[in-house]
Amino acid sequence: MDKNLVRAVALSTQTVFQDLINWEMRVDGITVNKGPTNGTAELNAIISFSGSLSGAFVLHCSETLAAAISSEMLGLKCEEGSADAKDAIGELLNMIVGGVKNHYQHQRDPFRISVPTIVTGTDFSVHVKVSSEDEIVSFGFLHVGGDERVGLRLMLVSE
Amino acid sequence: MKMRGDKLTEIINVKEPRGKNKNGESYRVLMVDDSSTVRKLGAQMLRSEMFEICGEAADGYQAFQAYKELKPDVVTMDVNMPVMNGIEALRQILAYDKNAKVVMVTSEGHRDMVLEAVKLGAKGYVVKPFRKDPFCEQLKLAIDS
Repeated sequence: MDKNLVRAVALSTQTVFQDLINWEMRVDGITVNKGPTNGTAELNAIISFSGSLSGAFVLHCSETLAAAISSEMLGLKCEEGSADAKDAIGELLNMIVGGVKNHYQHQRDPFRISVPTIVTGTDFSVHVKVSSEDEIVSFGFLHVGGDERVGLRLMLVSE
Repeated sequence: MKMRGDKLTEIINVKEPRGKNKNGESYRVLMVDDSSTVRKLGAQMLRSEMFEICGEAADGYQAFQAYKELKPDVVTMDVNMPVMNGIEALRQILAYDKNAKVVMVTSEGHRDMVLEAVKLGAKGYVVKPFRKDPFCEQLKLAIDS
């Protein structure tokens, strides 16, 4: 996987969290995965993209954290499992992917992105037709000053 | 002058809300975004500046129908939406009302689409995640244009 893309994903995620809810997020591990992408958390936002780069992003966290993020965004208490919490995680990923795309502005329209899909639960897998296992990268982020953890997975389809 | 300095400072620092016209009437805003979070967040910001949210829509088709019904002073329009995207909705609104004031609201990375929207006749754009001041200012500029 292109190191610049990995860097862009990490930077965009940190920027969006900082700008949106004033959370400093530290990269807490980047790993190259093997095999299918299993559900790892209760709430998952999925955005696919296609163009000169194609693939999918999956942002995942607990429902408790999704509600906390949504509450921070809106400045009011959001319940676990609420439509607001789900929508907020989808929008958060939308902004992160937009930020990644911004790193490729030297290319005209590098890729188009889908609207977010939200999946609740853990007993599922996301399958994207990647060309090699090296094209699946998982990022862990830790809220500095807190113990909240968010995961982000990038699955890239090579040309 | 008899007025005390701190009183004068207080008077000078009072800012007129950007959401009202010279007659004290609130500008009417139609907010279009498929994310309810963004609509709520934007509405909070705009209401604090005395704008009136006269309607909301979650896709381009709903936006065009709402525009015809509500005749808002300004529209905030997301770009990437299901059913009908913001560019097509802008095109339809401008075909219906060439004086429509539409401000595009988009995530980073959609500059190509924003440029297309501005060429079509959008009055400006803001990038998500947006902040209150530039967001309200952009709407006021669009209304005054």
